[in-house]
Amino acid sequence: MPADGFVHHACLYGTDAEFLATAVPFVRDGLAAGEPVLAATTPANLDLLRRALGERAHALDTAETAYFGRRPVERVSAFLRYHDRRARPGRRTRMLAEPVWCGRSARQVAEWKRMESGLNVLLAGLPVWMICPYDTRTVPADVARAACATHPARMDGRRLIPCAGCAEPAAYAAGVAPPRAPAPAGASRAGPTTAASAVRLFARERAVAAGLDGERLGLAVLAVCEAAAYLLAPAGTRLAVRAWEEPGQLVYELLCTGPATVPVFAGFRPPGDRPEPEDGLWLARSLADSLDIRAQGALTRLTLRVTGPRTFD
Amino acid sequence: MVHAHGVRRRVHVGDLRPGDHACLLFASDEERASVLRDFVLGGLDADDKILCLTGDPAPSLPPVPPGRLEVVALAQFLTADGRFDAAALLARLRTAAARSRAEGCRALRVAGDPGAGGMPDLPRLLEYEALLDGEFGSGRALAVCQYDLRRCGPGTPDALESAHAGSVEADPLVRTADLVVVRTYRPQGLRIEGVVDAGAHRCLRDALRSVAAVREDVRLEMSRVEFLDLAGLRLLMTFARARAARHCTVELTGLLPHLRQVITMIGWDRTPGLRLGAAHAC
Repeated sequence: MPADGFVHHACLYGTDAEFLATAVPFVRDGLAAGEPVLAATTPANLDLLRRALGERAHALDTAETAYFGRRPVERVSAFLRYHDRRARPGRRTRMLAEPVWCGRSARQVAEWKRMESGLNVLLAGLPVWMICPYDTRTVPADVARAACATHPARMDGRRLIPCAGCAEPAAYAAGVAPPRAPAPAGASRAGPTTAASAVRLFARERAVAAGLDGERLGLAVLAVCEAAAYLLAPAGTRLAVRAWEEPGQLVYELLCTGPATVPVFAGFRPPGDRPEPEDGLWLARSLADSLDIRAQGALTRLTLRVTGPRTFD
Repeated sequence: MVHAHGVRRRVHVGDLRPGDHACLLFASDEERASVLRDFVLGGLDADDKILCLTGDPAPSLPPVPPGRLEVVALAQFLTADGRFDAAALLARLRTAAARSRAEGCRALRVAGDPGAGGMPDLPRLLEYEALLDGEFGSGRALAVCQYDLRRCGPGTPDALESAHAGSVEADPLVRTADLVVVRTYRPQGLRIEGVVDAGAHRCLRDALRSVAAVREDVRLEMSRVEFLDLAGLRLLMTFARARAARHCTVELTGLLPHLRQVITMIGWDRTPGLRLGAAHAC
């Protein structure tokens, strides 16, 4: 394996033994080389792995995968945070990162597939070797197929098998659209405008009308405003906003035509020491239940969903 | 200056109008000089004649063109037993007001320093204030009476404040349609009100610079902030780090709870020099 640059492999396993056949040498070799090694997988797999590693398991960093980034934007932040904290100069970092697929909505599955592909862009350049296990006993068939499109190769034990169908991330993401929910005829509308203040007032008015208050109201308005400010940043951009309620969610749709196109994976990296143009979009992604950006010719459509008042944490 | 329900209020010195009689309760020479400077320069802009009734020592004033400023020692209106010679003071004020009108000025603008060293006790000060209050109701003059809190006994500031329609503070460092930032002195810091979005970052950055040299802990009072975006929050974090480099802190008080949540989510709550004070009372 190359020592620098991001290496991203899938591992399709159908038994505990197959999981261990890939995971154990990956972890053991990393620890033996003095590399930081993280296993973010299910509690059952963590248990298997620890028993197989014996004493060496003491040196393994672990995370229960369901809590290691609940949503894609948090997952990317979790990976970067782990790397920031544990990386050692001149050494590669290894991560065994098994996403949770079961029980997810069609929208969430699409978002996680896109993120798996996006990691090839977002983590490119980092000295990280990541293996993403997929349990074929439980993941839907389309998810297992997607693994071969979102990883350049897969590991089977110590054997590396190239994924011939691996897709270029931006093209892949464009092809995996979340379920489309067009704005209903009765949706509230504002704009087109170049004024961030008009968007802020509209966002607040609709959130209040939907029954949001207190912190949730503040966070919803902030999410919409940060997304709008990101889109409005290039001079000459005009923004139209629509909002409507769905059960459990308040939906904002920001439509803009402007000189700039939005990179597909913009806003997945958390703010660092220096300000970056995508910081606000990261915040919007982090505060929203989901945020999707699609280009349709000269039109950019950003759809942002926030939790409704009847959802309890 | 008085609300419908008679509640005294705080007013920016630049918002004073003829007929206003306000007090400045200051605790640092810097605060006093700042307000007095705004008061005098505001008078020049408004075509007022400026009359300084000074105590000892006289405060420093900005340069004023000849003929626009008259300085009179308050001590000359004291009787031998320490009382104000009300008739003499009133006569002096009326003469000055008449002269200012004759010279084509809008109004007489009085900067009084009745609390300076060698001046009377509280009952006599209140007598003086009542005199001024009655005189200025006519709308031909406006006045700011300066009192040094460091020299006031317990209860005195409240009594003095109640003798005025309001207390005055420095003009805002920033005053736009959406954002007001005011320098505060007790404690040292800023009061931020309104909206901080992309259009306000430069103003906020400049306002923060104005307190960058303060050699003690600084407080940013934010209970009237309606909206603050991520880049605005980052300005506050950068300011906190600069404070830490001076071995001082910045305390954010009245912060909206969702902004505190965002700060924590990013990990900015561990920023050196930052203290998250009392939350917004919502």
